[in-house]
Amino acid sequence: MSASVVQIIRRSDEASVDAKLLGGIKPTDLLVVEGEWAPERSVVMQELLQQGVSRDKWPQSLHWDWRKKSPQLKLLESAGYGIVCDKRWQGVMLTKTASHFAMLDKDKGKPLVYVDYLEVAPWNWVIPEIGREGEFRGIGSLLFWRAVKQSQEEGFYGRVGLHALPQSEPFYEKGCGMTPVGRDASKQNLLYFELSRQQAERFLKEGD
Amino acid sequence: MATKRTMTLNLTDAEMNALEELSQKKDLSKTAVLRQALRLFQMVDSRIERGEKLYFEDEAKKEKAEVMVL
Amino acid sequence: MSTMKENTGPSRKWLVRMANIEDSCRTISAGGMAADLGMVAHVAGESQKIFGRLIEFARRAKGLTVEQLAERADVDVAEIVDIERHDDSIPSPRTVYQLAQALNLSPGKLTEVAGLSTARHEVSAAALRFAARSEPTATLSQAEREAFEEFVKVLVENSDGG
Repeated sequence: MSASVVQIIRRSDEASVDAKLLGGIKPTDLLVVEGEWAPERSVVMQELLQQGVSRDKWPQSLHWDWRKKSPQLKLLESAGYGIVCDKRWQGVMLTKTASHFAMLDKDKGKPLVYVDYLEVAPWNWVIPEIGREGEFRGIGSLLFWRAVKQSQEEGFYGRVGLHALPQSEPFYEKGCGMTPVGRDASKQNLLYFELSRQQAERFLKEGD
Repeated sequence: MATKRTMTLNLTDAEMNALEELSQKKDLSKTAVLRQALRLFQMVDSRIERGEKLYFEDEAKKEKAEVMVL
Repeated sequence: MSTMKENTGPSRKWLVRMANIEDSCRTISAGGMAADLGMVAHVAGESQKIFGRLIEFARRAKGLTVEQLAERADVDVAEIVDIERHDDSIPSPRTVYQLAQALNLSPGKLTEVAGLSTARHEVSAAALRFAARSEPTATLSQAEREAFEEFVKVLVENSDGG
C-alpha cells in the first residue's frame, strides 16, 4: 500500500483540503468501501424515488457493489487506488495492465493502463433534482490523473484506455483530451476512449 | 511501491533474442516485458480456471481454434 | 494554511477546471460495472439483483432446496433458478404471489421489490441495506441472517395485510 498527499476541493467553501491518495489497496479495503457507500446509495435511491426523478437522470453507478470486485484485486495485473479524506473513502478506481492494448495507430498493440472501474462516493454525487451538490469535488479527476501516472510508471508512457458511461463522455473527451475510438458492442455499446502517449504528455503538463 | 526481491534468470540465446525483440517492438524494458508476460499468464490461467475458454479467431478464414493454458 | 503538507498531486487550478467539467457531467464513472449491469434503463433491471438475492435467502432460511420451494409454491424449478441466478429475468405477478405465500412474505411488498410496481421508499431502503450486507456464500451466516430478518421485518411492518 502506498500513500501520498493530494488536495481535493471542499464544495462548501471551495477550500483545498488535504487527502490521501492510496495505491495498492487490498480486497478487504473494497469491502470497507462498500460498507461506507451502500447506506448512502440507499438514501440517494429513497430521495430519487420520493421526488419521482426519471430513471435517465439517476446516477448510472447507483447499484454498483465494490465487494463483487474485490476478488479481482488478487491478480497481478489489477491495481486498486483510492482517495481517503475525513476518514472516509471518497473515490475508488481499479485498473488493469495486461488485458487491453492500444488501438490508436501510432502505438497500436502496445500495452496501456485500462481503467476498469472508477467511482466517486455517493455523498459526492451531483444530482440537482434532489438538491445534491456533493461534498467534495475533483475526486474522479484525481483518480484518472493517477491512472495516467501509473501508465508512466509501468513504462507505457501514459497510455490509458476506458469505456465511459454515457454521462461521462464529455469529461473524458473534452476534459482529459482522450480520443473516442468507437462503440463497443461487447460492452453494452459504451464508447471506448484512449489517451495516446502525446495526449498523456499534454494532460500531465496541464496539471503541473 | 511494494518491496522487491531479486531473481537471476538463465536464458538461452533464442530466449534472450525473443525478449530483446519484444522489448523493441512493444517499447518496453526487458523487465517490463517479463512482468507483462507473468501478469498475462496469471490472468489467462485464472479465467480458464473459472471455466472460460481462450480462442484465437481468424476473421478472414472464419476459423476459431481453442488455446488452452495450464 | 501552515498545516498543509506537500501536495504531490496536480495543481489547484487544474483541479478546479477539471472539477467543473466533472460537475457538469454529474458523474465520471468508467465502465466495467455499468456494462455488467446493462445500460438499458429497464424499469425492473436494478431490482432483479435484490429480488433474486431475497428469494434465495428466504428459501435457505427456511431450509428449502429449489425443488422443495418450487413444489411448495407451485412454480417451475427453472423459473426459480432463473430468478435467483439471473439479473435480467422478470418474474410474472403470479410467480411473485406464489413465492410470497410459500415463503411467508407480504405479496404486495415482494411485488415492489421485484420491480413490478412502484417501490415505497421504506421497502427500497431496507432492500438496499439488506443487499449490501448479504454475501454470495453457500451458507447463511449470522450476519446474513440478521440482515435478512431485518429486511423481512420491514416487509411485515409495511404489510397491507395481504
